[in-house]
Amino acid sequence: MYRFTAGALLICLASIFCSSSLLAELSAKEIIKKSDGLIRGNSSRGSLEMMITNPYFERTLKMKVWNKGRKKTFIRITYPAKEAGTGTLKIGNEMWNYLPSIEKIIKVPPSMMMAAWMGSDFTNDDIVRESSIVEDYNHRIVAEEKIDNYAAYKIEALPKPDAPVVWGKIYYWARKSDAVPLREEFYDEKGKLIKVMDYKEIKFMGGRVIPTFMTMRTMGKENSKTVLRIIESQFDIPIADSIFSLRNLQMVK
Amino acid sequence: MKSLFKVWKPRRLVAGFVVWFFLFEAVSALSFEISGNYKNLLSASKTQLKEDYNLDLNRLRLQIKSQLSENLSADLQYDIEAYLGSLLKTSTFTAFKNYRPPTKFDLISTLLDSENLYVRQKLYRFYFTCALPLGDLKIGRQKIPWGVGRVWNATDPFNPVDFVNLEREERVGVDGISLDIPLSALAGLNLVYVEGKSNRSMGGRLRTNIEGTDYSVLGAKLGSDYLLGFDFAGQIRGAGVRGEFAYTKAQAEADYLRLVLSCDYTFPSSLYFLTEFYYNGQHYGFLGLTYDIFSLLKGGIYFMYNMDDGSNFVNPFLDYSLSENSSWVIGSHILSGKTGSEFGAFSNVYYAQIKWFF
Repeated sequence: MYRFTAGALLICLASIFCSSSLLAELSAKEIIKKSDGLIRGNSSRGSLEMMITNPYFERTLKMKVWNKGRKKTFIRITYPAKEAGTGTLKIGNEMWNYLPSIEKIIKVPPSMMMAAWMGSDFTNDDIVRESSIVEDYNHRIVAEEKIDNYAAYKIEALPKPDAPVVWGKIYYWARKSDAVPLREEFYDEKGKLIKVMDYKEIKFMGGRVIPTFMTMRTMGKENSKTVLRIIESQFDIPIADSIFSLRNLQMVK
Repeated sequence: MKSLFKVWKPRRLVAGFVVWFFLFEAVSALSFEISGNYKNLLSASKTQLKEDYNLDLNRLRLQIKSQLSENLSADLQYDIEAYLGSLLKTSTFTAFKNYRPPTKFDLISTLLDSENLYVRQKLYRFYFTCALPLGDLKIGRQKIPWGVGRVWNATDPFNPVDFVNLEREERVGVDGISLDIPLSALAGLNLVYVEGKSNRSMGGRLRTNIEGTDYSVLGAKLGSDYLLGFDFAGQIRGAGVRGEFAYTKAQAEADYLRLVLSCDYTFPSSLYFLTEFYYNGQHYGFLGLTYDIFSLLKGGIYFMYNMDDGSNFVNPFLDYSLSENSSWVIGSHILSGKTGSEFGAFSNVYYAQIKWFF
């Protein structure tokens, strides 16, 4: 345990030191790419807990998530019992759900992508989106600000013409020292702020320093928020293609 | 009133306990997961003889999943159902008690049968899944998941949707063997063999995905009839579009065609819209709207119309999420039409349901 902690600390320090010296040299796009890569990796597997809070109720969902690049995502709900076994498979821009109550796979139409995912502040598109803040947007650093006492770059991301995105503008705050994301603000095409995502509890997990506690708030919904906590995560590991298949979707284990 | 000794079925009760004993013994030695739900469905209506009735269904469903070995798993869903209410004193309920599903095995037995309480147990699902190099082989009481329609299915001869049923998610299932052979992530071949009480069926469904649309072609021999079918599920400008076409070459009657066309759309406001058309010799239309009134409360209305005889079925409902694991639903089935029409023959049903998952 001691060796792991010490090793992890060394990697963290080395990572922060090297990053801080290099980050100043990076363009806005490169910072976003580094930041986005931290929380996504080329592939990942993990367990998440989602807590949905609003004036009427509090709900907790637990799930296992597999990702491979931006193209493939597989999610299996494990808690609560009412939703357990529900699965989501996304390949490219297509999505399927497995519903245990009817023992059937349903193809999710695109109009449902903007619907709330499991009653949360996240949409289906937020959960499985293929659109990339790196490739589908143009970026520029507009300010240097402090977020939670961390010095951060504030980056404006505007969608490229004809990019398949749902937001009109995104402001993205990345920690200056290592590009760890600290906040995102999502605006619609009219420039109205719609959602804010805060990234907290920055820890060493899965071989990298990442925020493990994310809060999504929808503007106009007072006292409502959805918190996403990463319980466990591994990055850049080999994941079998068979995970991302209809066969696996209907096999609830 | 009959004595308890007369109304209880002691041998079946003992058999039930023995099943339970072995069940617990078996699962205690294995890696397993136990879950389930309890449902209380209270309904009021009139029988076809126009007698007023009420019925309270209580169902405890236990679901046990066990990984018997690396490649072999077992799934069991066991129900105990208790029925109370005035319907028990009618001939309609006698017919219900005597009804046997068309499956090879009943897997239903009565535990208690009195004037005021009827209790039965049944195996809703019981199958083994063997993960073979070729694909997944499933043997036992299972559901064959064919068809893409939400309200009607033309290409699902085994467990088609029965939308006017109060418990529309409940499907008897089939006793048979199913082999699911994956051909790629989104393509596969499903071969089934089903043993019924009076006939046997076999068939195959080949599914694939081309340019964002799921397609399936299928063929089946159902007793002495033959079914050929095709279905698709895709999207047009954000809306989900689906279709099912089935042609049946029947032995005892003229050949016939069935067709389902379906479209749904979800608006950002959470308003969900579903419309479906069905042809099976008669023409039917369906319109459904649901809306999240607030986070915990969903309201909706379904409207089904028989275009040939003018009869219709309307189902308004409210669905309230009581807690993380429970929900409460109230609604009614309002049926109207001329005498002798499809929906006109039935009386309105009013219902309330609580379901708790564990």
